[in-house]
Amino acid sequence: MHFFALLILSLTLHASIAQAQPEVAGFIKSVEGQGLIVRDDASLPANPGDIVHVSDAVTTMENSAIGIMLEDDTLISLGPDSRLELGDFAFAPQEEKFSLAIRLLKGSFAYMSGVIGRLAPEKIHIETPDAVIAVHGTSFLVKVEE
Amino acid sequence: MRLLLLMLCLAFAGCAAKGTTVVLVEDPDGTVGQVEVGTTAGTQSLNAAGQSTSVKDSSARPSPVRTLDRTDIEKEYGPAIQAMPTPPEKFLLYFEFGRAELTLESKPAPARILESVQRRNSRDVRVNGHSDTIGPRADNARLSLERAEEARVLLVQEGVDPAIIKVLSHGEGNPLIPTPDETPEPRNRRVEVLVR
Repeated sequence: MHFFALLILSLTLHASIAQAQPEVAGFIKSVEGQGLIVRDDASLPANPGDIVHVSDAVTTMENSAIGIMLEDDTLISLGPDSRLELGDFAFAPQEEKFSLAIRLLKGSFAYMSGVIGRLAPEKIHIETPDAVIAVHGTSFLVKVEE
Repeated sequence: MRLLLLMLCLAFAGCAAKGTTVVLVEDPDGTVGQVEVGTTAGTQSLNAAGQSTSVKDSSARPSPVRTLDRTDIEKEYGPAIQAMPTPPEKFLLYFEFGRAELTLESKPAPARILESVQRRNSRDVRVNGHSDTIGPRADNARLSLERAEEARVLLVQEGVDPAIIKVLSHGEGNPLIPTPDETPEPRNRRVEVLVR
């Protein structure tokens, strides 16, 4: 009886982990003004609570700002007239799978490391059109002028 | 008008030309890490709060370090800084030995968690159950899930929206206080609630 209960339990847990892990990278925590989530060829208005997937881009309009929380508690915000792309994200501590690749294409940003920054900072790749930023578990700001 | 803007722009040192600027800032706990900004022509490291470097393009060397004060930083990055989410808040709920019942000290916790959910406008609450290492592993997996489920029920009774709660059981495998097997450790009989 215990064994069966446990089996069912572990199956449901696995199902929910499998669902939660591969695609979901984080979510929109706050939106001031207006912004978009650009996914494949579609542009969706960004709202608090919206899921951010791997390969999504997030943009803000003038006088707007967006806060994002990733699954590993990495925090990123975009100031006005900004665009970032989430190239890659993986966070599975039990399998020691970590990856975070972000492109900051234009505008202003604030960044604060999460669990990946603590456990595997070498797996974080942040770039702008001009430079590569290597992070050692920390907070920083970026401005990119086109 | 354009010219006026340009002149205003030139008058303020902070008004950036084409390229990338990176500024190292303090973490909320007051510590400062390190950042390296690299191009094909070189690397500049920043290791104190307010230090910044600029890069014109990917083939140019990053500029020498320039230290910005709070006013410069606020002017250039204010909206992004204000939009920064606050880090998730963590609560620990402790349980009686071998049971899915809150200790007396932990009984007020659900009310504090609800307060945090409302204050943060959270749509994401993680409930992670844990046990100590007394008894078989499988029993502890079950017990830690029962504890997480109990915490979930208490949070819902308190008024937290069930749709935003995710429950996960870690069993004895993720102790707060590492111990050998078959060790009673009250601090490991816990549920961690993360309000994100």
